[in-house]
Amino acid sequence: MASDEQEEQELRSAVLKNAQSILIARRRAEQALLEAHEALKHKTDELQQQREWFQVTLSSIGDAVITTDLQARVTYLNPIAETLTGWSANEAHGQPLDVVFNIVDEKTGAPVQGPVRRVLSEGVIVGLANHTALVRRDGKVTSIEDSAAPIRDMRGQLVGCVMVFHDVTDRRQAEKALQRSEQLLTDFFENAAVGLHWVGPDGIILRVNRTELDLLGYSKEEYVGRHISEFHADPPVIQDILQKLSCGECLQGYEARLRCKDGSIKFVLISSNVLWEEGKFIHTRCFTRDITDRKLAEMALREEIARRERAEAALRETDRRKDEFLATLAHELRNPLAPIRHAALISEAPNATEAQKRWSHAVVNRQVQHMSLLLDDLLDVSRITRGVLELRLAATDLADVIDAAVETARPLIDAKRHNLKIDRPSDPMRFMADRLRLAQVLSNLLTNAAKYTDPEGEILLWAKATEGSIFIGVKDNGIGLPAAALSNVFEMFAQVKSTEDRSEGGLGIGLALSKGLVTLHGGNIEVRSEGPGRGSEFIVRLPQKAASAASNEGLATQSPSRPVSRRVLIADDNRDGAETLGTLFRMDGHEVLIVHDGRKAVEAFATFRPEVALLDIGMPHINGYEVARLMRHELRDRAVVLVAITGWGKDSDKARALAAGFDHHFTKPVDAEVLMRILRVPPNS
Amino acid sequence: MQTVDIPTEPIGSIPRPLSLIEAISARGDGTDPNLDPLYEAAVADTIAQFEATGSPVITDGEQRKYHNFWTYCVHGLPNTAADGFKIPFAAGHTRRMPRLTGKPFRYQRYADAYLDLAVRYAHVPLKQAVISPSALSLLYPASGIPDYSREEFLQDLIREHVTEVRRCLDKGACSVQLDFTEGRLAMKVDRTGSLLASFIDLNNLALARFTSAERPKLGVHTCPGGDRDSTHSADVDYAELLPSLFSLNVTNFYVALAGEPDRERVLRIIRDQLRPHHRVFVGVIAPINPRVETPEEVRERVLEAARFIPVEQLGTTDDCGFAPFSDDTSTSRETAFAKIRARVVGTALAAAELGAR
Repeated sequence: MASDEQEEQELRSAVLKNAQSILIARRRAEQALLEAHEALKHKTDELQQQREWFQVTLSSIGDAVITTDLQARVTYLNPIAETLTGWSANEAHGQPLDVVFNIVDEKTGAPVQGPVRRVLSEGVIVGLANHTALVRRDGKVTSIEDSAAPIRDMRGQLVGCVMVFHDVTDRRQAEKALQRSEQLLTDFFENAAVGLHWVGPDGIILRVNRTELDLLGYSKEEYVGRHISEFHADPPVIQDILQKLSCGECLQGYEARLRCKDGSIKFVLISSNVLWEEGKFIHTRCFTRDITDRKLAEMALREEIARRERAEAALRETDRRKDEFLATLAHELRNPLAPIRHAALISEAPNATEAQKRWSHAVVNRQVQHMSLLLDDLLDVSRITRGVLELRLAATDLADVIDAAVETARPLIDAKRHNLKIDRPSDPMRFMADRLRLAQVLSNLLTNAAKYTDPEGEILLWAKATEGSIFIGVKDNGIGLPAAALSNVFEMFAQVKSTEDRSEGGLGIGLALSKGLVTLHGGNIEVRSEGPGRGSEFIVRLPQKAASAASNEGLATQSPSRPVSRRVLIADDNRDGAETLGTLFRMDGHEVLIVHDGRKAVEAFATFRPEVALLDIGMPHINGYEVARLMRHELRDRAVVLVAITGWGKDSDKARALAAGFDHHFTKPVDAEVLMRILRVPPNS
Repeated sequence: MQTVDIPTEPIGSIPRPLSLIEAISARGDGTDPNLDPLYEAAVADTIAQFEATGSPVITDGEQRKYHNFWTYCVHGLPNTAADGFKIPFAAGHTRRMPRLTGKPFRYQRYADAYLDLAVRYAHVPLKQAVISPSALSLLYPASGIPDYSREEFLQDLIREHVTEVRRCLDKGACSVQLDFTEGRLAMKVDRTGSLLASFIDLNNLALARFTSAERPKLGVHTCPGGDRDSTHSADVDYAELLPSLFSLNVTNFYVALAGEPDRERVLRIIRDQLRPHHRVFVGVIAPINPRVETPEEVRERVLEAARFIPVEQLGTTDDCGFAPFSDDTSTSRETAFAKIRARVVGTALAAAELGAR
């Protein structure tokens, strides 16, 4: 063991060596410290530069900056913050933030809690609520937006808060102006005079205005979000529209039909183009103009034009038929004249025998009767057309009607050797009818059947009563009727030309007359034919009104609005003039008696009892003045209308006529229409 | 009347209960875990009696520091031997330090472990004393250690010391005191003062690693080195130590003064060396003197110190711990707490009088 002295020496040696080592360590530490100081100085300089840069930056930025410590006392204000708060940085330093940064609600003016407290308590970034205003130290109020964030040291410890805010007054005003502009644009959009809508590239409706919704009757919820094709009545049209728009075309006035909510259709014109952004289809700009009224008017106009064209065609056809009828009439009337002339020549021939004279008289009678029948038919059709023909309804047995008709048509039937069969019930069929007129109808049908069937044809006349109606049919195996002719065979002047280009004569008004007479009876007539060469069948249906339903029924057929039929006496020694005038009056539905001298005129007053008398003045035996005087003063007949028709036309002639008792005085040639009007005046009016 | 606050703190050690000393002696190793219940009881009783004295700042009495205030942190290190340097005391006995035998140098335990137990019983702030790096630098042998230079050892030493101090601060110690009794010894060993300077440098190298926020909680205790009512360097003039002492980079200085023959002279030196950020806790109780001072005596000593040291930089303490070595039974626990109480009361009396002035 070492001695105490040795141990003391060792201790001394150890501590001295330690001292040397410590000295070395100290020098190293001092060197390290020196280097650390250099580095610190360098860092400090850097920090100072950064601080200065930071100060300059904070002073230069457009936003206001306020920093606080952990106790929410102000530590820094940049120049913008000084301006907005009204506090200088020196004055504000150390002040509670709430004193320097006094904020209120922009709308209500109520104090608002700032974000700093929450930042300092929770260490999070906080933004101010919208519509915050800063009350400057002098009371001026400024709209601001801001946010606050925590300030942390290098170790992440919270050391304060930084708040950045800026004046948004200009922006608020711009926002208000923009809002107003948007309101105006929206108002314009919604209330435009035409429908407006946007459609996306997928065809989905993105936006629509009130005008379009009102046009179609949909709500916005029923329209927006749906595919546009759902509202188009014609899928190819909308597909074409979308295709064209997708290809970059602009559409102007594209016609389309849109389906309204109530199912109706609107005609529209669509003008549209696409908003493109960087080559991308954003949405369409569609203008929809309602042209429904115009389209309907166009359609109505077209229909009207078509109707008028049809009417014109019908009129042309009617004219053609009339022309044809007139030509036929002229032909039919001329036909009897030749044999009449010839018969007259034969009768007048000095060497004519009695037999020849009798034969020529018979010819004249036959031809005159033929012409009379033609004229009677014409007059009947005219009366029916003007509604003045009256039926004389009476209890009628159908058998009598059939017999009379067969008798009339028998000569032609026998002449063409047709086989006529009659099929009728054995029991009497009695009903209210005009026997003569009905016989006229059936004789017409039988005559037509005989005419338009080849010799030795078959004709069937049948009749039956069922379900309150009487059916009478005439069927033949003649030339038949084409289907196109079935609908107009009962029209005036409709005489179908046969395929053999054969005409059996006549005016072609018989079926029209028959239809008119049947209609007056309250019935109807129809025709059936399986086509040319396959015969025809005409069927008459008549209501089987009870025979006890008397003449009131007949009276009921009268139309109170039809013109009155007058008994007219024509006395004129000019036979042609008298005859032609008489014919006109008959065609107008009047009953006419023609005489050629004054004595016969006086006699006719007693027997014929005319209601109107047209008297020539210069007549044989008794002139017209005398006749008139006799009527008025001798026979005291004041009811008759006396009309003087004379070649004497001076005022003195007129006065003399009126003094003689005439009601009217006309100078020849007289306007027949004027005389017609006199005749149409109801008696005692 | 203006209020004057003169802080007062103990140095640290309190005599262990005899039962504990006997139990340790019987075990032969003060770090035996079977002694833990006795240690805890000793700590609890020490803290209770400490608080009963009215001390505003207490310690755990260093009841668990084994074997002593100097080597507690290296006791049981596998790379040490028991034949280190001897520290002679005036009473004639010596204490031998361990010797480092190999690398690396690491603490076996940190003093914050003592705080873990103490905080469970304390109701007032706790202070923790740790050994200075300069004291532990004597572990390295004069002959050196192969592959472990003295410089490497010193770096390890500084790091371990800083670790210990920071752990104590983190555990909530209101102050950490570096026991620097070897300062006066350094002058005894090396009259040139180089050794002392190296000790100061070594300690400052360690203290440089603390922040300005931590340093107000750090302090240095210097005394002649008491053990069994004896010292190892009371014969060294304070004048040779104090100028260097106040160059340590700490705030608080715990300076033994009650046992000095010429307190005013020391106070003048202190006054001359004092810097504005320093606080000097002057020793007003002499632990090696068995007589219990009266509060009035303490008051007079405080007032005396106040003539030289500004009141705002003045504090009071004991000259030394009452049992720096765990087996020291020269002073009873009762005497120690009585003296402490006298310090506390006397300091308050002085503060009241100074405040009244």
